[in-house]
Amino acid sequence: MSPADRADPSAEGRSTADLLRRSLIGLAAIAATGTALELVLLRHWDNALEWIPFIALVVLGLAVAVLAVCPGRRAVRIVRILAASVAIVGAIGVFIHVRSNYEAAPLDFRYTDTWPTTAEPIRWLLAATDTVGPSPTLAPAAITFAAIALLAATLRHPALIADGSPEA
Amino acid sequence: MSQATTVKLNANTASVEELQAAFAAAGITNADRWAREVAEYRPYPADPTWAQLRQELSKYNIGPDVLEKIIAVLEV
Repeated sequence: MSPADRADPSAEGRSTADLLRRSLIGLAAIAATGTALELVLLRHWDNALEWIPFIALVVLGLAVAVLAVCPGRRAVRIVRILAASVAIVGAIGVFIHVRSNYEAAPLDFRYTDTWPTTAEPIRWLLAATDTVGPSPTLAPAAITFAAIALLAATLRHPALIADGSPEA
Repeated sequence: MSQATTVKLNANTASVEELQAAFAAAGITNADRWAREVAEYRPYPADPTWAQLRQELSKYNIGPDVLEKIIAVLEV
């Protein structure tokens, strides 16, 4: 922060907001990169469905780059749409993992005999809590987290309030 | 003395239907699901310990007896 910023409270606020915005963009980039590496280490490409998170992360990476490099009014709006879409993809991923665990439950030798008579709510609870099945339930939420961080970086973005009509 | 011979299937080339039939004949519960899982994680290297298959199927918390039954009908 420059001495001039210290003398001007509004400039200080802008400087802090800019720092936080850059931090959120950096956080989104780190989370997306880490998640991509984790997917590679897990060899998450056994079928077409397993490629979806890679596509979502590429889209998120492009959105991060756009917001970091050329954050114009139109670009920020596009980033919001992309980030929101990726966040939804991550949420759907959580459901897919739960469903995958549910479907795989009869293969677990502890439940092979009892699964057919297990109550439906208990089945979903066991699947959602990773008690049965091979899929880490909340892992796709890392993608949603990265997308929400990027979405947060667009809130009250200077490019959107440049014409004096602020968009939240 | 007659000795029962188990017909082995190639884990890398057998169809899901063939795997399912073989697993069912071996008395494996959920033969259809295991057949799909075995097919999903192809290809398998020529490894007498079946380390890759064991690792992949262990994610499902497979019973040791079921795993050995599956391996007993497979070859590479």
